[in-house]
Amino acid sequence: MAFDDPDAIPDDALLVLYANGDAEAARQLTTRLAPRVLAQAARILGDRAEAEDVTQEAMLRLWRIAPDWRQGEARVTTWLYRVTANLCTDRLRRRRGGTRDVNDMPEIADDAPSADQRMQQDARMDALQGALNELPDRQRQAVVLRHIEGLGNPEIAEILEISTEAVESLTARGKRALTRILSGRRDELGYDDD
Amino acid sequence: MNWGTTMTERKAGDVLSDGALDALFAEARFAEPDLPDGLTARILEDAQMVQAERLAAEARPPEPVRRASLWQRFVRGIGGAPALAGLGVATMAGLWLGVMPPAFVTSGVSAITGTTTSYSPYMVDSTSAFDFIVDETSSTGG
Repeated sequence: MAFDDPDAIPDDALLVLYANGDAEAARQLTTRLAPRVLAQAARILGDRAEAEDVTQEAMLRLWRIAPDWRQGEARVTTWLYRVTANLCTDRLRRRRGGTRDVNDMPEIADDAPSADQRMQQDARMDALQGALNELPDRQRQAVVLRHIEGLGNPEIAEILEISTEAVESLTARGKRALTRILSGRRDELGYDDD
Repeated sequence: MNWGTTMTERKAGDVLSDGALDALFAEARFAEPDLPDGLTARILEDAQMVQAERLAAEARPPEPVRRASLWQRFVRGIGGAPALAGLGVATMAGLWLGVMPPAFVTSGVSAITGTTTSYSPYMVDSTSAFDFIVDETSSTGG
């Protein structure tokens, strides 16, 4: 099936189309949702290869649940963020005590900046990722969903299965911790004292 | 990019401002990773596989319903194996009472009917009525 305006079709309608055997719907859903899953997983895990595995697994779970999806009951993105958060939590638990290399971070998509700008941007993103990696798992998840993915607190509460107040507390503590950590890395952020 | 701080702010206290942190978040938000082609292909392969599995499962004819045998229907009809066991016991008890009736049964019947009966398994008539008629006929020369 060809879609005249794929963006006009809600995620859950695409999911129903997929469940009914429409291959194009799968492609649309992948294009629309997988980059967000990959971004979330990459920020939480700080590891490119693991983030890709999580993305594939989360999307596989979406394909499997498609026939049972009830339109209008939940948002597909919220469900997918929750699955991704849980998959990331499982992986973080498994590798507890292991080290993470911020150089494994995803490549940054940008509008062709200069080499210097690119290097500085990479350094800032690495610094941010390094700081995120130092946060406790739940704080990191809340901060990523709130401040990088731009979700509202009620949706984050639904994803992490905690209260809205708990989300506010996690994000506030997370931001304070990031400020403290990054204040010591001003040079990596390009804040040269001149 | 203005990181939400002035040099004065940075020098004073050397602490990252909220504005600088928010700008960093915004930069990260717009720097979402590209979806690698290989990953896209793997995700779509999974989608096809799941779709094919489901369609195959739906196309598979349902298992034929096997009709229960007469004996199975009988057992089910009387209430299953426990009822069958009870029926067996009752049958055996009835047969036993018929062959070897206790004394109180025969005396009770005599009291009611005013007749005396005696029973012995050895008193079973081994000659059928038909044999008796045949004997009669042959002795009279008919």
